[in-house]
Amino acid sequence: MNLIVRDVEGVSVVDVDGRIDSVEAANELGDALKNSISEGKIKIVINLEKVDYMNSAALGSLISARKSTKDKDGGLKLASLQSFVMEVFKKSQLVQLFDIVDTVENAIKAF
Amino acid sequence: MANILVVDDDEIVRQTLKRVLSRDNMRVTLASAAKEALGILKEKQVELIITDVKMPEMDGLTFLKKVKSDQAEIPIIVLTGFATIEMTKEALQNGAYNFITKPFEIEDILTIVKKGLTLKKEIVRNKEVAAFAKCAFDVEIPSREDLLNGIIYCILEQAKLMDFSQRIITTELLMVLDEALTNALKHGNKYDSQKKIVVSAQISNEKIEIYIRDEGEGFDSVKLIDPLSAEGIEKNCGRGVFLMKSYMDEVAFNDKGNEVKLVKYNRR
Repeated sequence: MNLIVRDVEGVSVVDVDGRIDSVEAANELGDALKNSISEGKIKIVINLEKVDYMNSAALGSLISARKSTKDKDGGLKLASLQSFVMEVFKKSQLVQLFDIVDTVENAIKAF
Repeated sequence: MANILVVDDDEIVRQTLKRVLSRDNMRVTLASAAKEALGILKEKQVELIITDVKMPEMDGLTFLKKVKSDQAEIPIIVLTGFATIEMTKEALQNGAYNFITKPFEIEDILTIVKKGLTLKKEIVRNKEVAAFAKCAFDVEIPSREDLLNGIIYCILEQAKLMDFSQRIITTELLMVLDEALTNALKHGNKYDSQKKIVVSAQISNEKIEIYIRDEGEGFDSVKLIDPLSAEGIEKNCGRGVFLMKSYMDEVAFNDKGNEVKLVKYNRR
């Protein structure tokens, strides 16, 4: 899994490339999000276009990061979910918790 | 006579392939769009598919994924006029048998199609044997995360041989094994490399039955917080077990809670 964090109009966009299929990968994602938030980047969009699988540890990292951004009056949005990842979010009812947007561009606009 | 399905929105490409393949004693069905091709696949037995990538409405990669989720054994050759490494990688990752860039040489097409048909015959033979076969996979490993993917790979390869669908293998079984092995490593053995994880799997074309045991203190799965509840939805607890139960037909823990039994039936 590869992560790129970029700044677009004051929003941190995290491009994730590859399956999040280990605790190590989930922790890497969680650490990248924690670092961004601790640097004051509290508006975050996670681009999941290239993620066709993620485990529950990755869901945990996203849930924690969402809470941290909310606590600081920011927000975390998920964009471009692939079908299986969306299915996991629906099964886990996390679609109720997260702002899920069709594209990164629309997620940025929604802030 | 082998049935080949050619899917391309370019009439010239369709007719060229039909002429070339028919000359070599193959029966060729043409479709100008992926949706039309999916309809044909419901009606006709097809031994091999050649599909374009860039097509209106449904592109070739989406078509490939749909075919592979239902009829994984059909070799698919992807044609494209603007191949990129990324596209090639994605097609191959999603089960494409081979990849040809346009403009193509007739000889190249014939060679790849013939090899693909041989592969299809081997897959059919393997499937015929698999109907009578049972595989067992037993392993005992120290608690090391770097070994988990190898175990998952071995079990998924056996499931593939036993005709479980691509969808079940690459998503559902992968997720369940990932969650159960991670539980054993992280929550059971708490990353203590002196402690072992024991995996035992029996795989037939009817079902897959897996036992995963750790040497930890165990836990009471009944006492896990429901991750769908208002209290649990924002907590990082119980979601792995919930997902395992969502994707398997049977998930049972032993009394101590250090061994999980996972069963998935193969409904083809």
